[in-house]
Amino acid sequence: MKHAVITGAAHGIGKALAHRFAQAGYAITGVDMDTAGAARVDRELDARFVIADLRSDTGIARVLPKLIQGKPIDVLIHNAGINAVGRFSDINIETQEQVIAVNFYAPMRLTAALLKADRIANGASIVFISSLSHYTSYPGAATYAATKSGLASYARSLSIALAPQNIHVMTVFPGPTRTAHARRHSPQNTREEKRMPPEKLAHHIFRGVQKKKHLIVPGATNRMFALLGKWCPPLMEYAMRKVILEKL
Amino acid sequence: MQSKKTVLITGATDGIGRALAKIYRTRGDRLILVGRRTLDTLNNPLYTKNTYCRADLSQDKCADRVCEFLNAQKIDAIDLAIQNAGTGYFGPIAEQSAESIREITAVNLMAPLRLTHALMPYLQANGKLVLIGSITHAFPCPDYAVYAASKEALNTLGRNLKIENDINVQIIHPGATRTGLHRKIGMDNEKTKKFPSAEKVAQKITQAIDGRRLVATIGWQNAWARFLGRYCEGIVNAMVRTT
Ligand SMILES: NC(=O)c1ccc[n+]([C@@H]2O[C@H](COP(=O)([O-])OP(=O)(O)OC[C@H]3O[C@@H](n4cnc5c(N)ncnc54)[C@H](OP(=O)(O)O)[C@@H]3O)[C@@H](O)[C@H]2O)c1
Ligand SMILES: NC(=O)c1ccc[n+]([C@@H]2O[C@H](COP(=O)([O-])OP(=O)(O)OC[C@H]3O[C@@H](n4cnc5c(N)ncnc54)[C@H](OP(=O)(O)O)[C@@H]3O)[C@@H](O)[C@H]2O)c1
Repeated sequence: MKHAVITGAAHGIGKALAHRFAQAGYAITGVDMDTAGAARVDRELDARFVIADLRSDTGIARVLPKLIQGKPIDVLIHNAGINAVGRFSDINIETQEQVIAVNFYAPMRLTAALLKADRIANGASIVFISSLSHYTSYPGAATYAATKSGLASYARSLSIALAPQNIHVMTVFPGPTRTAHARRHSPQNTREEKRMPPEKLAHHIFRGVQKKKHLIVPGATNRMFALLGKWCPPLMEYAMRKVILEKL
Repeated sequence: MQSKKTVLITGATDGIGRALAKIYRTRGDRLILVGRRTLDTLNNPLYTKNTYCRADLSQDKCADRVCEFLNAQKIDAIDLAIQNAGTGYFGPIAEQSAESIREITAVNLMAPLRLTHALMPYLQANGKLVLIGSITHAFPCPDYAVYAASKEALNTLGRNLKIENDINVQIIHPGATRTGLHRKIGMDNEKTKKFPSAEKVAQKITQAIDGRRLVATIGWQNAWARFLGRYCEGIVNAMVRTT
């Protein structure tokens, strides 16, 4: 039985990923800090959870021995992520530091330690959940955007470093997805139905792993925005300023 | 004649930062030089108790140290803040220690974030914030992934701060430069002999700072390389893969 480890698996995209990979016969280990949420997913899927707060070194130090003692990992998904929305000067610095800790530092720490402990199986996939903001910009969440682009860069380097060991690395750039995370951090939620359901995103990610893709931008609209943002940055920046920053 | 400015430079005890400090000193500017070494080990008239602020940028409270120094010096406005301090690691990803990952994240990303936040009140109106990145942010760097990632994060931070428009920010990406950095991070020093000197690169950085470009790359070859790394990802990845 193959083994998938998913961070932030108690809710949202991580939970949908747990369901999708369980459905394909994977044994699931989730990492999350929400005990009640984890217990729910646990009951639904017979998953195993490590309860830890990835904002801190002590949290990471709790997770690592459990994963290192566990079965070899065939799919590792760095999904746990937090956001802090507002003008840079208005968001207190401690909150922004936590965004860096969870979104950027924790995935790099976990990856290096699991590689060192030889817990990543031959033929495995390591998946990083970045964000469409990498292409479009995200004024009003400058630190979040910084961590997500940094993560994409790390994954790009890792992909080349690990190819000789037959480990596949994939970066996902999701657009707006219908989760609590998106609801918490958007200026308005009137068009929530336009956001991609997490189950659909999870399916894209599952397919991406099967096909060993390196980059995926799930959804045609998101792909169009990514292209516009990449080749004509001022246009997307203008749009993001109007749609996000000025509505905060 | 340019009027005297107040210029803050982090990582001003070596390499590019020290070369920048010398240039601004010749211009007659008021310097604030930030570094982690003790003042008595710095034998150079650049560093005095009125110009040198000792702060270890890998520590949580580094921005407080800098603000305390500014208060003690009765400085309430800064014209130019250059966030240049940086560190790295060279070697296999699996062999990089937890402490090294923490330090690079702290010095290259957290410190600029903390200092930018803390310095905003000092930079109001005419102040300018400069973030020193690296062209490596546009490349896959299997031997120094965390370093390149921190620089990519810094680049994106600058880009979004620019859109938010509460502060005048510029991102400058130097290419390979002959400094002590490579030795410090455990890289082969032989190769670095061919790189341009810190003085030359610092000179070009000051020209870029006097200009208005949001993102400036030092040297046209580096600008090309950076363009390829960003826009021809697949080709560049394949090239790095085979070397
Ligand atoms: N939703 C979107 O529109 C969107 C778009 C692009 C990218 N993304 C990315 O997709 C990922 C998942 O987002 P989502 O929308 O599914 O968010 P979500 O609904 O908030 O779920 C995130 C999960 O991660 C957990 N988590 C957060 N901080 C943690 C920590 N310090 N330690 C351990 N677990 C932690 C959360 O636990 P708690 O519930 O206890 O906080 C939650 O279970 C994130 O990386 C996000 O940045 C989302
Ligand atoms: N050299 C290159 O090829 C190259 C290329 C592109 C970009 N860059 C960037 O240019 C900037 C300057 O690099 P450089 O080549 O001049 O390197 P360098 O000679 O090693 O100088 C780095 C400076 O940062 C300081 N620093 C490091 N860690 C610190 C900490 N925890 N607290 C306070 N200060 C700290 C160093 O202090 P100590 O003197 O105590 O070490 C030194 O003054 C860096 O951001 C680097 O990433 C360099």
